[in-house]
Amino acid sequence: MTAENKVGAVLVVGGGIAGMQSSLDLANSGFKVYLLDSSPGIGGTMAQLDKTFPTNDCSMCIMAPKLVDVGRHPNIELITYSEVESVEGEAGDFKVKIRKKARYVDVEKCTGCGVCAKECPIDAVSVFNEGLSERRAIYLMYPQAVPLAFAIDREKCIGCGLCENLCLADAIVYDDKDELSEINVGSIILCPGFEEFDSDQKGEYGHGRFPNVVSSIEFERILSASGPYKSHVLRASDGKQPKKIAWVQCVGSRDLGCGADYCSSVCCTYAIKEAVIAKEHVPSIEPTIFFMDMRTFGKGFESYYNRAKDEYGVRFLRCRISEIKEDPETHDLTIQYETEDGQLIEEEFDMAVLSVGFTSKEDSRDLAGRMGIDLNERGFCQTQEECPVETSRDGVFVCGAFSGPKDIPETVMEASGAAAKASGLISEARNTMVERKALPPELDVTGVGPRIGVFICHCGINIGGYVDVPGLVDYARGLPGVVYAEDNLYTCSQDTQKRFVETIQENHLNRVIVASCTPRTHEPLFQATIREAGLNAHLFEMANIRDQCSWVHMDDRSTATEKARDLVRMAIAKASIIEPLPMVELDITQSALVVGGGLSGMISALAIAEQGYPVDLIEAQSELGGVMRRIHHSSEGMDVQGFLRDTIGKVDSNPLITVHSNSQIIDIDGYIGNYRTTVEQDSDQIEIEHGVVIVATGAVESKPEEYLFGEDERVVTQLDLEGMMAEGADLSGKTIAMIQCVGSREEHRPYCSRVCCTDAVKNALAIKEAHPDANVYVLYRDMRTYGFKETLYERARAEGVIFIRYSLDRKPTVAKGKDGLVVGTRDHILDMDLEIEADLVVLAPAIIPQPGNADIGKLLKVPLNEDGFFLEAHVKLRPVDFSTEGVFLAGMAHSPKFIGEAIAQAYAAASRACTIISSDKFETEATVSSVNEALCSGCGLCAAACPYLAIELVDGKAVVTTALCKGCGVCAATCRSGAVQQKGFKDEQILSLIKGALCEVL
Amino acid sequence: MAYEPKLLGFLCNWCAYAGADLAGVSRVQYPPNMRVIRVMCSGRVDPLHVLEAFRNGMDGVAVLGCHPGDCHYLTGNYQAERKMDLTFRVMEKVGIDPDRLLLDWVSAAEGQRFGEVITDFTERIRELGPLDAADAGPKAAVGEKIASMDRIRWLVGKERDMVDHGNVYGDKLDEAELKDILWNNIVNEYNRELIRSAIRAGSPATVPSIAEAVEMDTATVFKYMIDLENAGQVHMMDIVDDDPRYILVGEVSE
Repeated sequence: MTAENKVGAVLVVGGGIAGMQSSLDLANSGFKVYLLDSSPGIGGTMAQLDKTFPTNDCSMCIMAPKLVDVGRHPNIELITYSEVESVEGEAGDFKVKIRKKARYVDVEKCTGCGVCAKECPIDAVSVFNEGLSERRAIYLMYPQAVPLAFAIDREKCIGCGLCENLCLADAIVYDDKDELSEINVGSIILCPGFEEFDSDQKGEYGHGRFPNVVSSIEFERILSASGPYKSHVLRASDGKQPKKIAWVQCVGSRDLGCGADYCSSVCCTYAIKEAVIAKEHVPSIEPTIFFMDMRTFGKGFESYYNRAKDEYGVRFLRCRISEIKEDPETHDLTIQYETEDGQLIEEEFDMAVLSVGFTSKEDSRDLAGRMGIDLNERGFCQTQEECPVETSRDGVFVCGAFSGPKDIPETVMEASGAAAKASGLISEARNTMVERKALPPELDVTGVGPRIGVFICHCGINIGGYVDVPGLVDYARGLPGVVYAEDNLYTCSQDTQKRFVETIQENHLNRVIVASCTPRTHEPLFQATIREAGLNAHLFEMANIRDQCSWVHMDDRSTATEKARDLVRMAIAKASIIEPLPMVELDITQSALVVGGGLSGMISALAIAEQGYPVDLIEAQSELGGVMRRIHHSSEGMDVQGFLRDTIGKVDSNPLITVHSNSQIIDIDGYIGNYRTTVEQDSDQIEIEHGVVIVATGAVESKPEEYLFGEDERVVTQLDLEGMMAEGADLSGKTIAMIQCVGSREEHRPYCSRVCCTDAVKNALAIKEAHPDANVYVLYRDMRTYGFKETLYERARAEGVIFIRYSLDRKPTVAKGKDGLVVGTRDHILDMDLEIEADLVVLAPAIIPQPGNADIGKLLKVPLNEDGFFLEAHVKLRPVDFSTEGVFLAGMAHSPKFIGEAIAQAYAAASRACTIISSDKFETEATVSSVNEALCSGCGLCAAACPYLAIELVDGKAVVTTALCKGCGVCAATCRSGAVQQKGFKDEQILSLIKGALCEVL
Repeated sequence: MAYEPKLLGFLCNWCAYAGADLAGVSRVQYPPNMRVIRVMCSGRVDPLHVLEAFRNGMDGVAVLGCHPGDCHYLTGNYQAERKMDLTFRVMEKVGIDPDRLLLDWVSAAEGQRFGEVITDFTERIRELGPLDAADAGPKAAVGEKIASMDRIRWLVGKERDMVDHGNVYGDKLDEAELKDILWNNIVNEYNRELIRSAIRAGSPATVPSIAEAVEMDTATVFKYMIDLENAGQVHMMDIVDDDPRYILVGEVSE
């Protein structure tokens, strides 16, 4: 059932990276978003991580800009420290009851200054630092928290009243109560995340008893520069730097004893990351990883694994550990393990890290119960392969680890995918719940001398306590151009901001300076205010006299004051030569071009059409469907061909989708919002105008060059086998030998093809089901049945499928025997050579990129990775975007993946595309570069330096495509003649700051 | 009063500036000597900005960006690395101790480390002592001339392209080789500038008189004179006692 009058708002439950991504996509596509989190702040698990694999990016660095974007987005309303009580209504029109828990701190008033926590007499354990350090009873989750507001831990707080006494912002509310409220939304996205397995449950590993046994998430905090040990790798028993560290894999995963019959998917790669980072911190550390199967199946993971082995010397030992012992005197640890040749060894370690798996949260299970959402038997949200972001309830969607263990890129893809579904449902209500503030026209300040107003913030006592603020005001008043100066207790408080507008207008100010905290969090607020007063938002400068002055020079008031004076003077020096920067709006062609008519391309096209925008779908073949036409059943029991027929039918009958089959792209011209593409179809050429591009060119099965493939027809591929079985091949009583990693994970093609292990298990099970008397052998290197696919592997073993591991240096052999084929391999456990008489040999060939990728890449100016797959803008947080704006990526063009994963990514690409084409205008960055033609020699250095290909030479002059420019300013620093300048960061403006820093008098 | 170094810092918005903010939030205490200029990307910092700071009396300049691979603008910090590499070399040549310039990477999570970096740098400059403005000013001015030369900026700007993607012939160049070429250019520019100022100080000048003034051998000076004459920068006025006498072209004598 779907409501008739749909509501143009979405509730997102869970403010981790998934919730943030969903919210941003929705808010940027014209929907109101309520982002709810049960904690006092958003950020989720990712905020706790130190680095992220496989690029070793700093987690907070890549996440912080998103935190800030969410925090200040006009269409996103944060509802923190809250729970969903109940959901009534139907898809399109839900009424949601929300309980806002008593926080005892007014979020609107709290400025995050932290004076309260500094003095609070009560210690509490820091949950954020996983109990490795302490916080106070009044606390901020972490320094970059959004909203930047404290909360009181009521269980710990003794109610002494000190914080209220200290808080100059009047933000403490001791009589705060839980509040119930109701919101009305059209759809709901659930992304409450997961919980780490409680390793205390695995008593034999000693966590909780032995101080030097930590969980992997605790180790993340240890590695983190903002963690309890400030990124020093230390062990708890004696504060010493450990030398030998053991990682123990599969703690709470692949372990029925813990009730976890699944694999947690990410632990192998994160353990590698932690080992590598630990070694980077302290090169003398000797890391060892104890594992069962090394499951580095993701994009770029296998080479990460290889680098850890070869370059960092991480030791990998294939063995499940049964117990960790401790010497009670030294607290050193002893681990007993069995080598591959059966030797029992006891080895001492200084520290052990337990790679804990994912479990579902009790709170989330309760929430699902209240909302009537089906869970699977493991307590995770039940989903279907046809749409992995849908729950069992119409209008309620899911993303991230709530539906199963997954890494950050998968989570972000699903988050965008869920946003596509959640907004597709209510697309007709787009722009009905978002407001655009009516702003007064901008004052023309050309030719008017600077009239500078300076507002200096005490920030309670945060600045005022360490810097002579009234003295600073007097000083500022005496500087050239300054016609007004005042000090405020809190410049950012709502009442001050109201007066701000009046002061600007009364004093005819045309430049405004705020000396307070950091522009990274507060500049947008002040800019919005001066814009309300009729000034261009860029007639503004900030002096950071708190975070980078009063807070870091607390013991010397006079030098701190002197520095603050300099910082204010620098801002004034620049203020007199800043200019209004116009907001440039470009027109957008509100339609999409999808390249590739396989499953991903079709799903993307359908999702965009559902949002109401036309799509041109380009397919090189005569039929839609791509490689999926050769897949007959899925590991999750989906009727693949039926689903494919349905999907093709929907595409063909959708009036907004134009399919161009047998078509090739000849040329693509233009940029975000304004593309013109030439397509050749049966020697006719047509031109298509569109605003965005989705690349979904897919991938292909490679042709094996070994194991008698092509020489003996009894040697086939897994896809061939599926075809044979679909045609009813009789395998009863036959012996089938499957060989994995054919052309994958080898020197010439180092990546893992991800799906083959599960495909082999799936087909082995299908054979066993149809013909219980058939013998199936699977020769593998590491069994990579990650996530819930692990249960299939378990089932296959129970059904009698025989799994034999081989190693790369002793690959299996296939020879023609008297009747059948003879497959030879080495059994490591029995330590002997085996020969299998097989009737059929089934190979799992590598999935390789589409050969035409390089051409498409050139036309679109988007890169491929070293393996030939398309390279996304950022492997973690922008998995479906290219660094070229307006171009997106879906399906196997990105890397090998399963049907469900490709579908999620296809929805994600559609969502990202709709953030652009859902508006008829596109606002460019204000601080973009521009070229003074008279000075430009047309040398092209700027174009070569630009990371975004935003500069081209046209008629011998550099031309900036403003829509592509991101405002880094690299071109300006490269230019030979000063012709290229970055607005807001012009040479003369930077020089004015340098001189302002030095000259006492301007 | 003890000497307090005057320091300038260029911090990229996304990592180093955020790291500095985190230092504040974490109340990490460090010396108050640095004045910070926020840029969106460390790649925005022009060598001229750094030299201008020295010319105007800064004792030390720090350029802090995102760790390699972490750049918010993909490759901006690599650009910064190349531009600062040029700056270090120019400083070395003109005689401003390159230790007065710091290029380092600080992430948004490294508040503590930001404090350490600033503390170490402040101490380093304190030990080096104040930069004598009367001496360093003209040196920095020469440096600015070198750093604004077309060919120098070209080499720096094109380096990534020529190493990663190939030159106009499609050949990929060796990075070390390019650095040598850059260094030679800096040395040549510097020597030319020395010679120009020697002529400026005593015009008209002869090869032996210049060689004495700039402490180079006459053969080298002569090579430069031919060079400069071909470039139209000096002019042979006459020959007196077999020694050609040169004057500067296009400069009004002071």
